[in-house]
Amino acid sequence: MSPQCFNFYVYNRQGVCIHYQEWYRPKSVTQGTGSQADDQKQMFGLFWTLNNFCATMNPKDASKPALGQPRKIGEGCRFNSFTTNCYKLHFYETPSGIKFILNTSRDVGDLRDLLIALYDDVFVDKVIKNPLYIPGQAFKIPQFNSGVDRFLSLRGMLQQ
Amino acid sequence: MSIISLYVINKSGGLVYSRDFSEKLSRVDLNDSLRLASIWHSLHAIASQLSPLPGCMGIELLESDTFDLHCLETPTGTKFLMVVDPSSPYLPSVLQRVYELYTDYVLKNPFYEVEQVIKCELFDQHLEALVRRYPGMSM
Repeated sequence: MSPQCFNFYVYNRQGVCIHYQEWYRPKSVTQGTGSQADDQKQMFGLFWTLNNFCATMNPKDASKPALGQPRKIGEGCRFNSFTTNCYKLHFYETPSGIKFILNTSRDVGDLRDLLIALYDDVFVDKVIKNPLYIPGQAFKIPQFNSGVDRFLSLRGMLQQ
Repeated sequence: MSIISLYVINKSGGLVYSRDFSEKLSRVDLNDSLRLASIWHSLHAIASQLSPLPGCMGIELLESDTFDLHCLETPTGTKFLMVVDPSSPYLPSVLQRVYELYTDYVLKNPFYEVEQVIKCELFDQHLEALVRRYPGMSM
């Protein structure tokens, strides 16, 4: 079984989903939360809570924040990925607050470097450097979509 | 692989057991650990709902910068959470063994009420022995 990517979300600093791309989603959104907007909001809630959870649970930090205390970007321990019996979710947050979520099949290793390279090579190049793009807004840039597709197939993550 | 702490959550999401196995590392406050247990229970359910594939049973492994968290959910809804050192090999047998100890020394204890806080000496003792079999922490 080769590794397979299922879907991909990008969130801005405020927690609004600014981009969503999917390749393979047998369980449709209507069976889950009901609507695309609800799905994206729930995904944000999930990783936001998981980050708070990890920051409080962190065994290696003596001065960690109590549960519920606001954290700055980069402060406290953050989670990198979680695995369920069906899929694996990878998370990456840039220092500017842009968050990448990638759902893949289980047989994938650590994708932190891949997500960092995805940000550096594809996102910065096609989105940030686009003169018409307002940072933090939702976007529809076809070159970004095809750039992501190309990036992932080069690494064998998309079954054609 | 070294085990940092263990939590047992009942099927309603309440914390029934928590234990730290390392003296040197910073602990979670009791109130926070109660809240964390309930939070975990909800996250488990949300992760299944957001799954792109059908048949998702919830989070089994959470990886972060400084620790890994393994979760075993039993058919009855009880969850065993184990916080370990990052990049420890995933040994499902350890959590399975904890589940066996739970059934032997907690569920078969005639004074134990199901879904309540666990206060069983034999469970503590055997758990201690199980954890000591794995190499200790070095900070």
